[in-house]
Amino acid sequence: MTRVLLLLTGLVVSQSAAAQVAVTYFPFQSVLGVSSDTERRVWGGLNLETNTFISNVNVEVQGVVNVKRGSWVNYYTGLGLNTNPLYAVNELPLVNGYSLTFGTRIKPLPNHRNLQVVFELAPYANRYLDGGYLRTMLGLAYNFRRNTPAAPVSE
Amino acid sequence: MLLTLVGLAACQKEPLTQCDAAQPLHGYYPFPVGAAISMIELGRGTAYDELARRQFNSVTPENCFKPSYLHPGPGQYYWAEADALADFSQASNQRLHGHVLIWHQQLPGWMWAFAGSPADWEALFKDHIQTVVRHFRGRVAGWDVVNEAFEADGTLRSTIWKQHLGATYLEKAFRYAHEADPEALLFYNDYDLDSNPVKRRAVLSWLRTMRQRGVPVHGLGLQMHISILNPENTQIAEALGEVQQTGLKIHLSEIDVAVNPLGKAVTPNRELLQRQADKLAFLVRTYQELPRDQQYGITFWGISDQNTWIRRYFQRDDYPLLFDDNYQPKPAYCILAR
Repeated sequence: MTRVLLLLTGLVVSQSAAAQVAVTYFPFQSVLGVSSDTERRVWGGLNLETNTFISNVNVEVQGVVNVKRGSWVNYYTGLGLNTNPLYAVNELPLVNGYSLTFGTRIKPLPNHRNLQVVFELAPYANRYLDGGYLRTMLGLAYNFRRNTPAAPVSE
Repeated sequence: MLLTLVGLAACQKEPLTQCDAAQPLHGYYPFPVGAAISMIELGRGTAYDELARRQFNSVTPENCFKPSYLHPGPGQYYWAEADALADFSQASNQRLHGHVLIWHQQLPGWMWAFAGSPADWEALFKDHIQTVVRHFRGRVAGWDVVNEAFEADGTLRSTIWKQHLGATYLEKAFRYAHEADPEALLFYNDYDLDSNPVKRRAVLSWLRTMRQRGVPVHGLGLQMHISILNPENTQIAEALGEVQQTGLKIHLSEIDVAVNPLGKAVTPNRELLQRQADKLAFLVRTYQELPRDQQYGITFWGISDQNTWIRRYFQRDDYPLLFDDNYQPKPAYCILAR
């Protein structure tokens, strides 16, 4: 498990090193996300579950691949590891479960492509892979990248 | 944060899976820790009796306060077992929580067959509530006044009470109970409020209305018949967060954590028992984050796996409680007793 965490840590840290950061807030789920530049082919992020008891502030570490990038919309998929650092204090398992995310980042304003609407469908399974639920998330994001391409960059 | 996480993962301790029950469980918590008591099992000198007396400082009657036991015939009440439990709790310096006044199950046959006018039903309803509450006045700290009145879709269940008295039977039950003992705390109690947000929000909406109308509802009981599969911890936290906002006292009133919810052939191996312990630890530690004045307490629905209602009701192997079939503490007990 430590190796998995280290791998994901490496991904997020290396991506963030480019000083390109995006933030997303999913108001219905009270989730705050911080990620590396979501316009890159591969990016990583941290989702923090807020507005809950301190003992339940879970952190989801994600590795994501943009499968299609465009001027209006990006489609992506990724894997997530849902953990709770405070569980170590309570001697509970650190890992809650795993998620598989399918998402879109829509850039509706031509002159403000960094402002994005995010929709994610993310099946979640517990750490034993014998239970879980289907999550849907709707949020607003801002990508702080310096040069957002005006032209389509579809691949 | 990630580096912290990695560090914590590397140095996390192995969970404690064995312990003794030398110290009472309730001594570890600032709120009452209780168990549902079966009068069939209670008897001086038995392991059950010893654990019931020492480990818990609150008791709930598993069955003997239910109408089929207390009110076997029209105008006829049977108090012996219920009084024995009240005496037991008094002798053991334990809080007694009354369960249950109005429910749609475990009713005596004569109630099911009762044929009367709406006024006759009203008289029966009021007489049952007030006779029982007055009998235990000063001995019962709180009552589950109404149990399981809502369906999974958030609508009111069509019980005999609703059929004969209308939807206002809920409000009337609380008013009648309050008249009979103004000092008792009055609870609404239900299941799946932790895992079904539709039902939970319907109950919370109804509770808000009751408070606006000045109905004496003091607390909400979340039964918490859960399993190692369901609900997820995050759903438990979401539920407790929502019910906390009512300001009502919160009772985790019938806790058990099934390890075999799918009814397969299982043996209670180390992994299953540890998952059960982890789920329970999360539940109790999250409950500890409620404001102190909202912590009415937690109650386990039985003491030993040997006595669980789940084996009888669902006819399946399961091991949902704190003590095993030989009354030895399980990892679920050990993780709470520290």
